[in-house]
Amino acid sequence: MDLTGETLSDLVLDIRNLHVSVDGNEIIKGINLAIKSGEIHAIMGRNGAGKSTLAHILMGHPAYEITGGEIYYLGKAIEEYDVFERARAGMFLSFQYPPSIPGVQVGNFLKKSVNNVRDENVKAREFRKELNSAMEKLEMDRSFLSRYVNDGFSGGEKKRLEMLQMMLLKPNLALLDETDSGLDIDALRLVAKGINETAENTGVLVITHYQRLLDLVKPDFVHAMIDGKFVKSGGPELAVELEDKGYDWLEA
Amino acid sequence: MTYLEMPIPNRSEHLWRYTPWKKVHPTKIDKLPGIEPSSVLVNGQLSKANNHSKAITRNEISRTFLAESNSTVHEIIIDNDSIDTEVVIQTERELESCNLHFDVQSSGSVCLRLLGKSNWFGLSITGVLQHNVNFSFAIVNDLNEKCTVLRCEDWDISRDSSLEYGELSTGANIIKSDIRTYLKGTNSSLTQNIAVHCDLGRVDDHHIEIHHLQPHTNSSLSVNSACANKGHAIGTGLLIIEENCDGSDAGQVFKNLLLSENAKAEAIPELEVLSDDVSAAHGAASSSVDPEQIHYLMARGYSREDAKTEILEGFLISSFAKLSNEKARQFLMDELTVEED
Repeated sequence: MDLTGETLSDLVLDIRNLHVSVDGNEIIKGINLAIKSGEIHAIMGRNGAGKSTLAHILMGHPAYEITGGEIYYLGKAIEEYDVFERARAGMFLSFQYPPSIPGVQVGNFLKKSVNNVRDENVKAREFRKELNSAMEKLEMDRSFLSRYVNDGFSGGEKKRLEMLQMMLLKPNLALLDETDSGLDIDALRLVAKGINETAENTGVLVITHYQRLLDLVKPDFVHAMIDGKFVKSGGPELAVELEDKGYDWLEA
Repeated sequence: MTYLEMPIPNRSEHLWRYTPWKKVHPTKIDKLPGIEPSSVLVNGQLSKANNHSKAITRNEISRTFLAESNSTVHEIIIDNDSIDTEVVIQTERELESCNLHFDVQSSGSVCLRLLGKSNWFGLSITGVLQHNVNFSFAIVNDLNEKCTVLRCEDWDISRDSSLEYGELSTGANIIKSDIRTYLKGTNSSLTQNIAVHCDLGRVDDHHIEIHHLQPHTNSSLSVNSACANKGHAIGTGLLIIEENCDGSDAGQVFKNLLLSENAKAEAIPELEVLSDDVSAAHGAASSSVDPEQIHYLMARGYSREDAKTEILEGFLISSFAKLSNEKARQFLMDELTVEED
């Protein structure tokens, strides 16, 4: 089945009883999650709870192994698809720690990524227009384009570049892995602007430690994750409660 | 001493440790075969060679061999009338060689491309930078994939002059390059950036010597070698800062990127520092492609092969992307893009 073809479900993401291991250690221990287009879901949890593992397995990272359950993207099981096929089908992961790629200029990288994902050679003028508009919204200087991808970037610059990619790639599903970590309040505001803009036509899964991002990006659903499981799900009020009370009360 | 009188160099010598003389000699080592001179185009015009009187032999076997086996030299003057010069060496016959001499009298650039069908090619380049010039030299080796290359270069840099040197080496099969630069005047400088791509069974051996002979001289060497399949890159550096060269600053960095289990890379920088008040540093590192870089690019829709190619191209570009001369930089970048496509 072609992952980029016809949509078979109104659910962008449908995770059923997912179990994931790394090097034989089970990290995700039975997760269910359904996301529709236009919905924002937030996952909160302590370090080591399995939040980033979930993001990486959804994108197809080879170090993680699905040991049980299924993942459906637009109604199609994705386990057999490689990372680039998922990306071309409209899945996007904003990396917590995006690697640097020396010698590869941001401008060229963005153009190639857009061409890859849209499966066409986007006209230079059209691309420039979209790029200028997105960079303006994220208050990014044009000099970014001639720098090497993430090479010598500050934490905030890396996250803004991730948001720029998301805005240009226009994904159906955006997985944002601690996109708010290490950001000052101004950078956080810009990143939130990028997320809100994309979220209108996208299913968004925000992974975060902090409620402060969720003040700027209003989630429809919040899931508390402990030891590889969702222990409580609710509306945006759950994020406030977790910020106030921590996670101990959920373990009782 | 003539070639036939010279002893065959021992493999214990730094210069001959990896690619011995018999491997780069075109016939048998006790012979001095007749070698045809190559055609040279300078700015699209066929250049006329002279009988050489300026051949530098330095009592060194490669230089002596190249000087004796081809008695012609193309002398190219860089002056106010020839600021940016393009040179193409086109080889046609089985064994060919070329001797080039650059007399750099004013600031400018030379972009040199090596092309052709020869199965053995010898190249000797000498260059003298007169006082107070900024000169950029870019060389691309795009020779036939079966060719063996013996190459020597000797650059003299005079007072207040700078040489910016960029190289992309992707052609031929076995390449032995011996590049020596002599910082002969105070405040002279060298920036040398070399990118090497060894694929299949290609062997590329660069020996790079930099001699600081005067105080307040600067040099910077960066060699990026990427090896795939059974490719083998060798980089030996020798940095010499002579006595009474205080205030000099020198650095050498060799980086190797290994793209397969059978690829090999050697990087051996050496220092001889005979002055006290100088700054000299050297480093070497080898690594395989970072799987997180591949994953990141694949998450942006690159296939695995395209991701590897992008990383490789970036690695090579990063070695000469900071060349200040736009023409030289673009010449190398364009060649690399064509190569990787």
